[in-house]
Amino acid sequence: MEKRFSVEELIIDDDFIRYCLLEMEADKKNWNQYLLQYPDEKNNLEEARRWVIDLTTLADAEQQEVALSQFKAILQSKWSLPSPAKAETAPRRSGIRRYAVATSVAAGLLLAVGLLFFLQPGNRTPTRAISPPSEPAADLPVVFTTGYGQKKTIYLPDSSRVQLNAGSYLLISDNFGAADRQVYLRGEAFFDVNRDRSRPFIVHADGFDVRVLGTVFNVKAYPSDRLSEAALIGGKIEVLLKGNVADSFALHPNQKAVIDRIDAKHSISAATDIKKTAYAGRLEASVKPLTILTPGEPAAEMAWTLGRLEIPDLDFSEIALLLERRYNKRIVFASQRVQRYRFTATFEEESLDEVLKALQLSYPFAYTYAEKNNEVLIKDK
Amino acid sequence: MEFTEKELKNLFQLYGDSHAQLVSIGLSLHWPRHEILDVVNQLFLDLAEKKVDWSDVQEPRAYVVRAFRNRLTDLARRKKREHDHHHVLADQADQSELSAEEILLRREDQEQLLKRMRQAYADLPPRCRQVIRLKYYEGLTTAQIADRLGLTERSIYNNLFEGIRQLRTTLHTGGQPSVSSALFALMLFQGPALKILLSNSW
Repeated sequence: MEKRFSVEELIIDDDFIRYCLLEMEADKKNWNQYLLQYPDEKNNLEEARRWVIDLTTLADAEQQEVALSQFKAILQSKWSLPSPAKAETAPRRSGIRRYAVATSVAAGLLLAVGLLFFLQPGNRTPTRAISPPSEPAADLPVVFTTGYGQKKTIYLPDSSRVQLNAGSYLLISDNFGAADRQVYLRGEAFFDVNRDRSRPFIVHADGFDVRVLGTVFNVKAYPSDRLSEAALIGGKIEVLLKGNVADSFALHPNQKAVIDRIDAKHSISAATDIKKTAYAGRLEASVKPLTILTPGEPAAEMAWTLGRLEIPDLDFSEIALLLERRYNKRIVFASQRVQRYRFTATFEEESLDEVLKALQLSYPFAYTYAEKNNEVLIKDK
Repeated sequence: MEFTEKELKNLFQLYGDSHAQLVSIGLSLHWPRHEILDVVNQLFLDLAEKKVDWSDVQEPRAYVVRAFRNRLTDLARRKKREHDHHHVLADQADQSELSAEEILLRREDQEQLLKRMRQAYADLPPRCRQVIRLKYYEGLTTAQIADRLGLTERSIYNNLFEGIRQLRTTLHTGGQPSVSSALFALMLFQGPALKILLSNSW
């Protein structure tokens, strides 16, 4: 970083905000570097961080009701509580219904527990509220977005959990939970959907829908990618290609549907018309097994939910898309040959620089940063 | 597990009162937001299960703050053991433990500050309020805001800059020695004042 920031500039800088809210290693390195370069900026940096946290906190407090309604949904589904208002009339259920594993586990293990569920869906006692809230979506924000380099966890009113990957957009239908549960997705999300036969859960992606009964799965459908996919970890989902109802197929656990939008023009569908834009070109779909890079480890398709970046034999041009989203930098190729290099790798906390250096060990290429445009230029060595 | 209406009411009240404060504390201690939300929810699930009798607790919010910070500390230790170098700031959390007296003093300061912040925000031109809201409430980047509003990034940036500059100026000139120390207090104790602030200003 060459430029010196004022406090105001820091407070509104997207990279700085991301650093304050997500605490990713790459960002920490960047800003530590900045401090090394300008040690006297320490107080300004601290003040700016306080402002960012505080402005975000004000927004959080406004969403207090939302957070609370989500917590109520979690509590309800955990103990099958009748909603307090209906306590008198709702039929009492005897016994305790709860997650088989979750109760004995401390907060710190949440992630690990989640993982356990993903891997052993059979262990999970079906849980659900006796009386679903009558207007479940009324106080839930309708739209969730993540910028590049950002992630979000969302609890839906039925206490289903959605992790939204970087550069994604999730819209919750107005009457979510009434007759069914519909959401619209651009980008990538990992769904842990609560079982409810009477209200199917439907994810609308560009070019296809995923119908769910209750299950754990990942949908990846970025407008900028030609290939989309729905990967099933446990349970049962059905994938319906849009405009071609005859073409639907059910997936078994550890399978994924790969959807090829053959006529896709890249960068279509601005997020704001998510319901209107629909891919109208040719589609081709195939069913493939999930990618396991390391035996015993979760599939590569869900690695991002664990903070990992898995590269299972991909073109450099495909890898560039993953890196752009993860590190919020544009990647530009000056050489077609380099774009076609293929790599297999797994990264965890590495910075973009470390990732590129590691990839250089397999094939020769050179890269330079153009900080002004937030770009990395990759070329022949 | 069964709950009386009163138990649920108390629990939900406390959750609503504490949520924003806990998230703020977590962020201040360098935790990523999505992990904080998980920890908060798990904490309250456990409190529900334990059936804490809140009438026995003198300062329920302070109690929750302490429990929350302990969990972050535990989580950090566990992560450290698992060679996850993401957070090793747990020990810092313990150093800034406050006495009840300190908490009360800071709360007064903070309520003053909140009033002034609320006023300062309300006094911003609407175009500044709008972009500040989109940025920190909806989490949009400057480019995304430009996209959403159909304006250039430059003009969004200018409005953001102007809004933040005004907020800072207003707070600095009101006789507050340092905004960051006042905001630090804010982070440690946000109660009803914050609610008043929010119900009117956003």
